[in-house]
Amino acid sequence: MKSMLMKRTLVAVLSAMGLAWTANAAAQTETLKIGVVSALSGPGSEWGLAQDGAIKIAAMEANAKGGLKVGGKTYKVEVISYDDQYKAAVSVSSATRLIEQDKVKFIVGPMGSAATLAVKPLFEQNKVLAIIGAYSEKALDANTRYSYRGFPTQVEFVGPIVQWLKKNKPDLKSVAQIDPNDETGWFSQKLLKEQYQGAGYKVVSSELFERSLKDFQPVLTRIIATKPDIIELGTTPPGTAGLVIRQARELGFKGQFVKIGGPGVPQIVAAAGKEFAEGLICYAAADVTTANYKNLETQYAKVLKPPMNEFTVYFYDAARMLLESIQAAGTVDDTDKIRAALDKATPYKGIQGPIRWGGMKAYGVNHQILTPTFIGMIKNGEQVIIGQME
Amino acid sequence: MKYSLKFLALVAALAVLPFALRSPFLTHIGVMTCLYTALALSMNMMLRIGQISFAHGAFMGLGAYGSALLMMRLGLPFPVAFFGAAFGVTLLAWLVGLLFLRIRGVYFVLLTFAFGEIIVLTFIEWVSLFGGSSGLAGIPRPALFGHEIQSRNGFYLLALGLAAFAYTSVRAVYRSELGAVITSLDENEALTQSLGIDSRRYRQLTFCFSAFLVGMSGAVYGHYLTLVTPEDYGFWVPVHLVVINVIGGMAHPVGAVLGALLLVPLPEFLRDAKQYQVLLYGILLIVFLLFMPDGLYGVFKKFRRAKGGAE
Amino acid sequence: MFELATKIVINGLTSSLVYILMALGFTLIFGIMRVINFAHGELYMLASFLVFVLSGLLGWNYYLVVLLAGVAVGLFGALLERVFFRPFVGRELNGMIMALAISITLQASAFILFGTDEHSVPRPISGVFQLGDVIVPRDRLAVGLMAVVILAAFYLFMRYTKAGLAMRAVVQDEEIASIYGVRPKIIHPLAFGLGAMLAGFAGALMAPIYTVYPYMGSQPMLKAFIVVILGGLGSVPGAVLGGVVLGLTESVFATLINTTVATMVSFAIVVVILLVKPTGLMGRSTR
Repeated sequence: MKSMLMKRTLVAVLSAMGLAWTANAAAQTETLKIGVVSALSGPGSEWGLAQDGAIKIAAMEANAKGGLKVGGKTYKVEVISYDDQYKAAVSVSSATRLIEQDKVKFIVGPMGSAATLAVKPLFEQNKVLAIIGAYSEKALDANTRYSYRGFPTQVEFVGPIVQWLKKNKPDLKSVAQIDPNDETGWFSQKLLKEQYQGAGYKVVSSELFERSLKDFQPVLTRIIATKPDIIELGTTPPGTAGLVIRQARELGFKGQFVKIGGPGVPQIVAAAGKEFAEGLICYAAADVTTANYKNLETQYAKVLKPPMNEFTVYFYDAARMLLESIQAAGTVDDTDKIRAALDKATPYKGIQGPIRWGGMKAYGVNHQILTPTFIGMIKNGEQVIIGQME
Repeated sequence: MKYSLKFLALVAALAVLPFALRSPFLTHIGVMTCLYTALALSMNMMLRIGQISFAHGAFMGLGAYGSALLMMRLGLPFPVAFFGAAFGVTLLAWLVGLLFLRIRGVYFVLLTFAFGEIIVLTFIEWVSLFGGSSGLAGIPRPALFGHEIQSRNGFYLLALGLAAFAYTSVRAVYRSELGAVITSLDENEALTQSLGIDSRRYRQLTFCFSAFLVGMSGAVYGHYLTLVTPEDYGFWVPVHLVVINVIGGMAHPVGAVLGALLLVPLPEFLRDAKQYQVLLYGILLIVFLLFMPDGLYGVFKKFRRAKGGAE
Repeated sequence: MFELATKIVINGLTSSLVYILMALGFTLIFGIMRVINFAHGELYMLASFLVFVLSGLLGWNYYLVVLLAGVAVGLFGALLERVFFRPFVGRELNGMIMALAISITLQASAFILFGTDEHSVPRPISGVFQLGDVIVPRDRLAVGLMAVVILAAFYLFMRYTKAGLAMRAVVQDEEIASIYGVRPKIIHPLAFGLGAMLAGFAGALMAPIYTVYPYMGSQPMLKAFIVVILGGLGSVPGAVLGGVVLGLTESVFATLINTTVATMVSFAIVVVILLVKPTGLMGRSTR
């Protein structure tokens, strides 16, 4: 009896060893880990999920081709995502975990400005190549070596949009601003105020609100009392922006809503209602009617729950550039070589048109992506492109 | 004598642990567990006098912001900033205690809760001093005796020292005559007062020492994270501390340690299933409240008594 | 100036009515069971989610769903009392901690089921109601009116039914009430259920006004707690007075300065009341 058991065990162990040996021999594939730390839940998650979705799509496509071939070896691309809930403290601990525990050398994120400023020292210190978000101009400076901003910020597009407004809606003269009371919101308000005033508009009110606020009646009562022609929603997250729009209309505001900040038309329409959202003029990251965009949406649905936010387009292009730069550099560890390759990757054929790195004048380093951007208007619950800028 | 030797040996072993394990992740858990042990012990003192303070989160925040600001704005060296902040919190507790401590039971809880929220809202509203909802980033590293504490292991030793101090001092207090008075404050205040003891002074003392521990813990926490944000110091901190005490067992300070050992690492290990972690936390608390009201410590004691009886 | 003042008052009063609904449930539970129901906000949240699922996703009639949600949450509250709170009768602090535990568990469950996304519930009524220069959103007005109806029903129940009389007796003095045959085993679940139902109605009515998400209950609970301290723990007329005072004060400060300051002022009022007259504006010292 006992010898039978022993024999069986021996066979099992030998078979297992054999299998493992053959499996090992067959699998020359290793894993390339890419981390994501961004707002994957709560307000602002529309944009964080764009970063997460984008890298996941790029990874999925690379793996579908059999893996990423870098310097003679093939790598399976694995994405490790942590949700920072748009909180800087959580970003720091998540990024630390990615770097120290998961040992990643590439990170997509964060999205929030406060979060990005908090983790950037970690990235630079540990030579982690990052595709960041963050609207704040402080995120890029002359000392930045390893962080690249994957989307255009208001610095890049607010000027042209204000000019368009001036030309096409000349009877609007005064602006009231409302933004979240955080790093992103402070920067946005300051910049937009300068640009509007520079173009001849009168900024009659600049309000900041706590991110968790839902009842805007008091602040809107204050704003409406200043009789603005335009209410500029800035970097207010889309769902909240919809609430603001609805409550403002219900308080009697009949003027124009403008949003030169992060996009998210589906959420705005859902929260405001089709009727109230009608006519909103906004910065649009993408023309959602093109074939390329619809293709990307199909891909997105395979990795995350729809709807896909327009920002995904930017980060998808950036993710592809990152993977291709890794291939070009022939290494998955030497981030200095890879970033040199990344610098040379543009002009690049993005899915909406050519994109390139720029920003030396504004930030002191060419790590800002410059892309085509659009001006959109909400008509009948959908976004319609009414203008385009290079 | 024998006890202190055993204790020192334990602390020495714990101090060496991170160097042996060489895992930054585990060391991080170690830092957090030590800090929360100190915090839970401070809450244990308040539980003992029957006045749960929900302002403790805000006190922790004041310790963190205070130490950071004293170093960053006034350029003070770490030991001065650290103790300055801790004493600042203690002083505030003393002043507040004069007004608040005569209120008892749930009213005291609600009172300290409201007060704590006002402080946190001030962190958010007073942007020029506290940095608003983004808080303060880039907090300088502590420097002791000319040596800067930069590594995770260094912080672990600092936190361990704090936890050891908290444990020994709280235990010593409880075993002393002072402790006897403090314990009686909740159970039979009338009797204590009839013996001529000024119960208010003892409550003040407890509250102040508790705040002192909290202030120190907050300061270490802030320097460790290099970032202080207001939402880290709200209402959920004292809730967490109460839970640690309930689950660990309130009767003996070792309960706070046991509770921290169980509850602090839990979220770190369950990070991938974050909301299941919170669900588990809630369920665990309910189970303990219903079936093990004396906490882990109570369970151990019963176990030991049963074993002893069987033999 | 007058227009602004009117707007401030109207904004304040529409908020007050919802606060009162929440506060009444909270104060009833405290008055009868001496439990600080930290899970009160989650009862509100549960009802909101019920509305989201039944009315928003399945398309049932909104008003029917409001009724259903209120009753369902009420029954759930009675169940909570029977299973989780009964062991802690008389032990205030432990009961409070249990309420906290339930709050945490309910929030986490909602997160697991629905994610943290903020869901919008389609509005049954929209548009505005204009009276001269004064504009009031119709849906808020509707919520206000329905709240008044519910409050009236509650008042009649407490005043004229045997159960209501029994509950009022218990609030005053539980021991003496029991001598008169009032049994805690019936009164406690009834009180918790009734309190929960009020929170449920508040949540169901407010679901279409903002958005529905797992953590939405924290704010209303906070308001309830402030109102009840103001008016007096255990006092029903106190809850109404407190609700009005809080709604108006907040509206004034929030409109003239900002919302954060308004919240700070309300907490400061709480501190002052607890120090000076802990039983609130209309409470009586019980034990």
